[in-house]
Amino acid sequence: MRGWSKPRTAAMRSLAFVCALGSAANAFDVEVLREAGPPDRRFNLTVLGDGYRATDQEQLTTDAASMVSNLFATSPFAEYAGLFNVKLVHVVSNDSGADGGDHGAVRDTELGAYFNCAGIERLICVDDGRVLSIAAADTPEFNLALVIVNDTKYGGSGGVVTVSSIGAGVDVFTHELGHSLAQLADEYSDDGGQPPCDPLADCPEANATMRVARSEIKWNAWIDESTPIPTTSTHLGFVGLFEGARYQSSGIYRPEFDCKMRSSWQPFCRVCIEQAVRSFWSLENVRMIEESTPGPSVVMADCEPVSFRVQTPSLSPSPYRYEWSLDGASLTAEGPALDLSPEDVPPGTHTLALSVLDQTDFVRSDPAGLLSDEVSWSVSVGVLDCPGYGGAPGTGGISAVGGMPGSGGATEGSGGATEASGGTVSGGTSSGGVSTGGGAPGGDSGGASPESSGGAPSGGQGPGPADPTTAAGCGCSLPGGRAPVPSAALLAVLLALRLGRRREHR
Amino acid sequence: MKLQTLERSARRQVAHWMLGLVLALPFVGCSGKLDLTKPDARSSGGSLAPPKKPDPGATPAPAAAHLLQIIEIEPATGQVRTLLARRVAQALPRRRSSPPGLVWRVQTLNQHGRVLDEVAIADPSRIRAEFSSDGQLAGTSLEKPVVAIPLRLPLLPTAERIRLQNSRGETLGEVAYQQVSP
Repeated sequence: MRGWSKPRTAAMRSLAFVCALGSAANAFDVEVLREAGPPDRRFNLTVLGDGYRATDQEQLTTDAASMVSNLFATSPFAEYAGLFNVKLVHVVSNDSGADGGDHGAVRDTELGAYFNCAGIERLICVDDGRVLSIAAADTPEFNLALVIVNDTKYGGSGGVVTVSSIGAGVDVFTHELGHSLAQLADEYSDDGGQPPCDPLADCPEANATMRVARSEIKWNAWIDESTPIPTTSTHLGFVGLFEGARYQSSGIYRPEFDCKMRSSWQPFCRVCIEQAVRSFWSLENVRMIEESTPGPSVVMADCEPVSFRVQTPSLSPSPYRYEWSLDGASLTAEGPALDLSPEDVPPGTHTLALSVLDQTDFVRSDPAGLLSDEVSWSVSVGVLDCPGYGGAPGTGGISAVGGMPGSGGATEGSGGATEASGGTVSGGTSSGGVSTGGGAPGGDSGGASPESSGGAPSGGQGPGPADPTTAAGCGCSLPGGRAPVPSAALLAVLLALRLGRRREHR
Repeated sequence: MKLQTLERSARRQVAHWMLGLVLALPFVGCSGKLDLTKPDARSSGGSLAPPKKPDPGATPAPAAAHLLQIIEIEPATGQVRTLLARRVAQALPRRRSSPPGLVWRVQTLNQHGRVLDEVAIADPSRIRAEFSSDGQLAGTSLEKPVVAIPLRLPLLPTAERIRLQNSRGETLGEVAYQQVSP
């Protein structure tokens, strides 16, 4: 126990408990350093200063802003900065510095920072309870608390609260975030006091392994065929299997020769970046599709188009790919919004779906599917008499003009089926921009091949395969003598034609 | 003219709404994984990298608020105290999959000892001491005698206490669940 406590602050701590319990009143000024979105949709970092007097608060802003700026200049934080908010709590201390630092042996600071914690000269401890209570009172949305200690002596610590002196700079913070956010292992060989990896289960972290067979290495997707396994320093800059990691000099391997998880001033290696990006998308509050409109069920009761739209966190450069589908068939539409008119779809109930994918080059393996999100709408279309509406009574049905041989695709298709003849759904060699009738996310959204459209029923008059849930692929008549419902692929063709025509009009 | 347009628009909106109400019911819940606040308390300690995708299917309707309770525990003595408790006007944040390595379990219990909520957290007693040394990091990990933990828990009217268990499943201590008013 000796070396952990800071006896002179015991009374202060007791007082703090009493004051803090049940009190959510703001105690200190809060400054927004970075606002990427609403707190309930972002990961919220709260930075607190210790050893900053009232007269040092401008310096605190400078120090914190510098730290945040450097953090978000580091890949992959730079590319995914849009997922993070940062606030600074202007904690005011009576003295500057920290106990045992460059300002003296005993300092009266609000968060109680002190060097030589547990007898380790450069280990800084703070009153974690006080830190978390202030963070909770002033920034209740916080997900992680970071403390900057106003002392030029090198030091810091990681854990529930991450601490760094200004003498240690941003590198310690960034390395610690590798632990906190991406659950990365240390890659240095020094004994870290951690239990060894389980040989059967392998190391749990993404950047450490005991496996030496190429196919069993968890970052195998990054290793070139020509890279020797294990890998030595002759392959600097390559991803391979370098021995020495996770507090062991042998028997445990790391992906690259050097990395921020081994040397804090280095950039993150590619495997650590990959893991960080995967982790970013599973952080508290963070979702790829953070809002979708309209609601899950849409009724098109008149001829007005409905705009379907999603909102994703703003990232630069944008890594997103949007894949729209209707009743399982891919659409050529791109982007986060799609305007759908009743004339685009026949009467009945349809499923419009959108998959959003993060296509970053940082990630080669995503077994848990963290880099995608999806939403779907149930779209019910009534029997309407809209201009150019193929499904309206009296028009006799829908004809996939764009799907006729040699029609040339969307730009040539009439799409609206005003010339429809007798409710026949023509199949054939569609080139309306539909990639496949299967609708599996991840499919190419380019033009359709004859093969891909082959799955569409070639006629709408016969009793096609029934699908009572979507009416796609049905070909049957709806109650009340409504027009036949075409197949899923054909619906997609029609919609593609409409979209293509609209785009051309613009 | 403008008024007529507005009336027409309003009538259309009402018709939309009425028809939507009737037709929408069977399809409610068809959207994807927009609600992801369900606690993922199923996993245990051990290897779990990369992180698991939360299960949207097990997601309840998110409440618009949750409890933030800061506690402090001395594992050696089992003493636990609450430093701060407050209601946060925000849905309970999504809980990440169980972290690699050692984990603690936080259980919320009712008066009969029934577990109402459970979550695994990275062992909060560990503190990392890592420093640059001749071009490379060196460090060690230590166990702290006093451990502060920020807990975000669902608002549970029948909850009475919070139990903390270490990675070996041993109960470290209990503290009252703080019922917070809006």
